[in-house]
Amino acid sequence: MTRRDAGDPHRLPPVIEATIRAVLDAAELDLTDGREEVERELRHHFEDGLGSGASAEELVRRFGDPEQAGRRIAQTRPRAAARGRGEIPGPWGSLDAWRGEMARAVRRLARSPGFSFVVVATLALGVGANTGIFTVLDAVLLEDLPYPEPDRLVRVFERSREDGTDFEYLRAPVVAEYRTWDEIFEEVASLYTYRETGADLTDGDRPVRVNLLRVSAGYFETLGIAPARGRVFLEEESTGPGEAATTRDLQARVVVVSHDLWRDHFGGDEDILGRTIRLDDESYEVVGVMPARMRDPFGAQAQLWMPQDLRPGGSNSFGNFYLSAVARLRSGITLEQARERGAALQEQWAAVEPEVADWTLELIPLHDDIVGDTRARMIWILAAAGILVLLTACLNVANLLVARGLRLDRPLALQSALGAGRSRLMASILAENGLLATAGGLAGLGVAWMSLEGLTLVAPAALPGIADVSMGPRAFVFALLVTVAALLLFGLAPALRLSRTAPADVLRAGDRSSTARRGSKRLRDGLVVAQVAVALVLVTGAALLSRSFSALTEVPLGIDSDGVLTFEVHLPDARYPEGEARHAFHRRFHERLRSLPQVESVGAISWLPVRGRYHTWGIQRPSEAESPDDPGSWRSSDVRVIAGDYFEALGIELVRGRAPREVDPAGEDVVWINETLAADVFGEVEPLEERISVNGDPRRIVGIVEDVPHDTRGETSRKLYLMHAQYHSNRNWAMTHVVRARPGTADALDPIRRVVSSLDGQLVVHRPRALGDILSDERAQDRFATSLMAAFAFLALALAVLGTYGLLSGSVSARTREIGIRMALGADGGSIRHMVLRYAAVITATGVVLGLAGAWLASGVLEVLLFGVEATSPWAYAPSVLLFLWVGVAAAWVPARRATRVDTVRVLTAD
Amino acid sequence: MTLEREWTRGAAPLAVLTLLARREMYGYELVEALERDTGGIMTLGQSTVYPLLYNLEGKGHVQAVWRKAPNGRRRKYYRTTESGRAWLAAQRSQWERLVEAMESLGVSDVPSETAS
Repeated sequence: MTRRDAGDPHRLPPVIEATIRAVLDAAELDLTDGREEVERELRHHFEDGLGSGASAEELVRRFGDPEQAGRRIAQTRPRAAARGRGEIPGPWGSLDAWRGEMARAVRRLARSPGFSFVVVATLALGVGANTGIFTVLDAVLLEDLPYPEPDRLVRVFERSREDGTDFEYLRAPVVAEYRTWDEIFEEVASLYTYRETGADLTDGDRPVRVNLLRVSAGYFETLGIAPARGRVFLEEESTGPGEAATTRDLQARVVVVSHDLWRDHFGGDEDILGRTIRLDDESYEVVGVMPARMRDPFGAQAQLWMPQDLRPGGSNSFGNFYLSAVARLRSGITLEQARERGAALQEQWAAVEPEVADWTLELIPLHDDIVGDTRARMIWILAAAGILVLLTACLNVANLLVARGLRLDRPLALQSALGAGRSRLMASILAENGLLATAGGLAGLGVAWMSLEGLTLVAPAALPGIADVSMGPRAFVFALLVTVAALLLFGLAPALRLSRTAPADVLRAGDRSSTARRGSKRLRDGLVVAQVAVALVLVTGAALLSRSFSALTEVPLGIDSDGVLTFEVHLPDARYPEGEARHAFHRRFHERLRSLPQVESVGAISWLPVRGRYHTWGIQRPSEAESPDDPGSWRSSDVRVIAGDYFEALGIELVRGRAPREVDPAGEDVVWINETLAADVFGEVEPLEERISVNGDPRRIVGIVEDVPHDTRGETSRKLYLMHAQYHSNRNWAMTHVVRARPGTADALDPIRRVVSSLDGQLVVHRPRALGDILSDERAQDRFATSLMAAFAFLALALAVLGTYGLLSGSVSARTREIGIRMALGADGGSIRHMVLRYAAVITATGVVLGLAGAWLASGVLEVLLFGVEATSPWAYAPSVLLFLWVGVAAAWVPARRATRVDTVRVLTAD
Repeated sequence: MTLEREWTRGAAPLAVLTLLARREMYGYELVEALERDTGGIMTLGQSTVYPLLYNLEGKGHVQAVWRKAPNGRRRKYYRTTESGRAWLAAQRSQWERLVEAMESLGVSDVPSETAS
């Protein structure tokens, strides 16, 4: 900053140079204040003196106290003086003046690097945590879906009039009807289930498993996505002439491929359109390639789309709920209008179609459906926690600033006494805080970026699409807003206090206690109390969440996942067209596996437990129904197809009845039911040997098995198990095999792979995973919320400890004299220590009481995320309270010990 | 001998303006002139002179210009302005009234013990 050669290249004797520098530094002038001009004038002054024959030392002596000269110059430079009289509108209006304030603030802060670092780091953590969580919130919750006019997109459900629950799946004739309701829908499309399925792409030496989504004509039009090449599906490819047979029996063998599949698997083939590819050993024609950035809302991993058959007949009956639907509302129609009009249309239709009499149309905005209620709540709660962290950070910084303000009181009061004026003082404080906030904000962006990288690593399962989240302009704007808010929060109180301080008070009082000091002590006490309170809210929240999570991991899932390996082996329709052949494969495969030394038991199922509901079909108790057509006698149940010793392999207990291996598949059609179904449908009646209809076919109940939840929260639903041996012809079931390894044996995967190849060289072991890992993924969202909350709580706790410690050690230093006097009067170390600890206890306890109130308020919001924990039970709070009381005393311990080591003589003889 | 600081500080603006009303001067010249013309009594530390000059400049009583000194170097010269002269006239009459008042109190009377 110093320009030694300003105005004159000649250097003066060092003693003079030092004097000039001292004047300029004390004056805290910068370019806009005319620093150069003053420097030049001083140089000329000393040159004149030297020229007239005086010695450098003589001149410096005659010059007088450079610091005093500097301080006076600072006050008497023309602009400063004029500003003091109010002739120039202070620094508020002029950019140049602000630049001057900033330059001075930089110099002041550079003189206390430790303080500056702590403030900037604290702010960076607060701003960073907030910006990171905001970016996630923005991307997941606030950002529109990446489709044109996303507000018009809705999920379509059928809602049961009977119990008001939304049915996840629709019947094909219902979708077909909705597609004609032009007055509310511009386009309606269906998907085969809500999930991707797979197919073996057999173009190369070994088949590649690809993710596939079956969608009806109009699907891409509904979303508003045009293909990059070729076309999407034609209306007749879904609804063309003739009747549908099974869900897999397509009339049009055409596919649309994703950009990635086209680029990676087909090498970006320019002539891809019209090319024939082999999928599950059948030929399909590629008719389109989707654009690179397309995101399928229902199948993020989809690589291929196939037309879904909507023609009547076969599976497309009123009895088969198996489709998902998405629609684009007509332009100009609101969701409310669409719901009202849809209800009216449904009434009209129900009058002529009894199959829909029990159902109403339900429309949910696609965005809400994708995000999900609980996840949205979770993100809002984490965002709130982030804001609390910022608040603790700001309180901490405010506390540091007040403490620093106490040290700066005398110089500032001096400035004020010399006529600097309040506005000038405020300006310099604000400039300093502005710099700290800016640095904190910038560093915070860095922290946010790192925390996003971290989130991407830990949260992929909890927040789908997190890997694509990146910080955009909105994150920067947010960081800016947060920083400004932080600046106001942490900067205002100290600034007001300083500018309100009567300078005479400070000057007169010296280091002793004064009104100004008592005021700032109260302020600092208040800040620490607030910090403890906010941190307690966070820690309590985190404790609740982590207890909830551990309750979650202890939910009995009814299965024993230890040592269970799962994988899929897909049998292509082309080579295994008959159910009999597929069943024969499974039987032989399981026999071979059972003979492996590593394998204890082996089975297979159409959908693994705890992975949500799937294949919810209509069931009927024939003895109850007056006729099979009586719609009132139908109930829903999840249907699973099992093979081998599935129950045994997963440790699912057979409550009574026969195990699958005790049943002759060639005999009567049989079924196993779970306890919930037994209780719901049969009540007091013993269901064993009773009959139950699945999709219209009556089957005898031969066993009752214990409930296995369909999610990690232990939710359970009616479930019915069919034997693959008796149900293989229904469709080519995508079976997941489950293999329980013998304890202590080596990995069974390689031997399993060899068995598969020896049976059929074309088949692959697909997605091998430990069942424990799958369950752990299902808990990812809860784990994510818990760990993030814990991180926030830890931050807040650390800041609160720092704050309390800082306050107490400051207070001990300030009371050194008092302590010295007390000790001289005979107080012993114990009572001094006691005094400091009592002060800490009062501060902490006050914070704890306030924090408890806050935590109690917050618990209402947190409740939705909690499982198996009472949000308002005293047990939820007691540990946090104890922790904080302990922390308060621990933070006081070092200062308390220091207090007892006060050197009485030195203190009392000091000024 | 020099005056006590409070006296110097109170009288300095008047003294400086009086000198500058005669002719324009640069800083070092002013310090020297004050010392010389007051017989060493008004020896202002420069730590007082420059802030004082900036203050007077800020109030509009003096005006500063950079120009070449006879020795060829550039100097910052100060001279009184119209407002400075008006202020000086007012201060001077106050000063005179103060001196009169002090004299009528007998402040400048020679103490009796040493008079005879």
